Amino acid sequence: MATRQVWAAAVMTAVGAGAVFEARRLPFGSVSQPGPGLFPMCLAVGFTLVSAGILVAALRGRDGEAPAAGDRLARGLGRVIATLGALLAYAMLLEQIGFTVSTFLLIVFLFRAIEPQRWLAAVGGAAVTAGLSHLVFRVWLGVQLPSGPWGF
Amino acid sequence: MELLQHVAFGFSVALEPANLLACFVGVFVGTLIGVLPGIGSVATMSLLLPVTFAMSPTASIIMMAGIYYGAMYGGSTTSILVNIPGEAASVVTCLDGYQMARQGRAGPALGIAAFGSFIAGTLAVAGIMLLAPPLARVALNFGPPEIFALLLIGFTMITHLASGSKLRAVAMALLGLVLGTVGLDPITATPRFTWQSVTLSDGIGLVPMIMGLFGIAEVLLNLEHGIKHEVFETRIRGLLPTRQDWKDSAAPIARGSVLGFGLGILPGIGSIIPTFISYALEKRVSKHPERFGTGTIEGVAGPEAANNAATGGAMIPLLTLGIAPNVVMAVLLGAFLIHGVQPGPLLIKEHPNIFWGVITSMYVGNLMLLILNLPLIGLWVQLLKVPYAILFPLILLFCVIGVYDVSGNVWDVVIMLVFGVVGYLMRKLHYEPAPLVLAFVLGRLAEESFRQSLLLSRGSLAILVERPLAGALLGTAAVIAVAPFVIGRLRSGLRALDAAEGA
Repeated sequence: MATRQVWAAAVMTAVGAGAVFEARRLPFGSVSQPGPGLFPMCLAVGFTLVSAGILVAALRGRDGEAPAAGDRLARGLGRVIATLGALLAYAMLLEQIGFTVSTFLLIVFLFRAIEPQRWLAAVGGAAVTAGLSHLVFRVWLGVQLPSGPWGF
Repeated sequence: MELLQHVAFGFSVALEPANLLACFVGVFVGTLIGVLPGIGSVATMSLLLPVTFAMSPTASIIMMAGIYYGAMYGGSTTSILVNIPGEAASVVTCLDGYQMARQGRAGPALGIAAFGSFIAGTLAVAGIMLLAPPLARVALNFGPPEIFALLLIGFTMITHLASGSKLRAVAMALLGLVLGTVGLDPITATPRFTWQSVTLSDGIGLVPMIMGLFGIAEVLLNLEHGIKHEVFETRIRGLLPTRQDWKDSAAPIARGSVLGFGLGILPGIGSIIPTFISYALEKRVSKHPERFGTGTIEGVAGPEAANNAATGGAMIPLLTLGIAPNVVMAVLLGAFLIHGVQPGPLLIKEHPNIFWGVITSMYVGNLMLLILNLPLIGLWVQLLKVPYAILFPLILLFCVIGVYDVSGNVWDVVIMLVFGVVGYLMRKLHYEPAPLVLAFVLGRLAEESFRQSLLLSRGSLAILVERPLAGALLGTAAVIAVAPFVIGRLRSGLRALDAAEGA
């Protein structure tokens, strides 16, 4: 746990430093005549300093946290990554093959891979979900959802 | 009797069929998602934001507000029956509510939660009616320096009231502020942190950010741990609390209402903290504090009243100053802006139908919730039995549709996923997302008002303290910033004194 906290604080500090670096390219102006860069710069510097403070505290092991239970969660982590991957693929496919088909594929995957259901239930459930969301969102609520080459 | 006229006008708006329907849909959906753990009012309101495009501004706001206070009712049901908070604001209700259910008193627990919420909701509506108009009159004199000073108060509150580490809350607030500067600069339209991306030059959207941090992140956490919950298998009888229950609950409900409403007004508090304070208060004033945690009805009545009253209190800064005191109100602010209505001191005058209509609809909605909740408890119990394996793909799908619908831009979905990962990691590493979102919302406004102030004064910072109202507000911000440290010192000083005297 302690190392995870160190890593988190280190990443935050690095992100802050990156923001400071980027903010340097904006005109700073002065305190009485602020340019576009004044706020980003001050805020980025503040964020970096506070993150660095958290990093120091974490390195000294003073964040006062109980160590978490070991790698019992490894299987759970797999589910998290698979779900995220599926959603990213869904976002990329959305405008290529249309909302209805990509939704069907996403739901089949989630029903089968994450919390396994039987094939019939997964495919049937996905068909119902895709069909209903098509009707509710596109037809009834008039949401502008991307269509595939086949028009839905 | 000007107030009565306004109230009558409000009811005439709130009782129009379209608005009545919007109110019903709002409180119904609110209860539904309140009952379901793992989807909160913030995500739901952002999700339904695009749906309101076709509605009148009044109906949209009525519906959105209904979701918020409706969720407070629904959340307690899950706390009492399953010992999992359906909403973050009903965490405390688990302590005594679930114990009551185990002792076969689920009915009175659910009943007093609903009645307590109703009474608190009603008192809060009355409070808004009395307080908002005079506050709005004062706020009419607000210029950029006053707004900036007020926002500073908000920032100090956000960080003080975080439940975990203060330093981490400050870090998250600063991160939110930095993220708020992404996009075009508000005065000169210079692109900042955009890397030539068209999506980013519009700034990071509030909806993708909130849906990611609260919706996607929540689902990911639940998937990792695997949600298992057992609904308390018992016939729920006798929802009406007994005479003794009422005697025990009356004072906690009254205290919870006042506490929740007062705290809800302050920026950065939200509806969770009042419930904790109410619980602690009831335990302190109780003649039998040892019974708390074993199923005492005061432990349900007080906090449930507090969270509902807090939702009412939170409406005040939004309606009178145009400032969102918590994340839910930020989404509500978004709903106002989408319809081209700027909430603030002019709202009462320019859009009296929205102002009075929304407030009276909250009373109507609370009444609906009371009627809806008592007979429909059985339905909500059935809903709790839907397995998460079926629920989570739907929640994810709704998040994607909601975000895509706002902008029609697939990259906003990607931004939502990024915030989903960030939110998931934050939760695991004990960083809170609320200060980040709140600072993100207030930050843009703060920069704009600061720079406008300096344009007004031609570059003199003195404008922030010379105007009496701005100076007073700035002073308040300073007091709030240092008060906890001073009080802490005083306490340890007193304790040392006590110890010395005792020796």
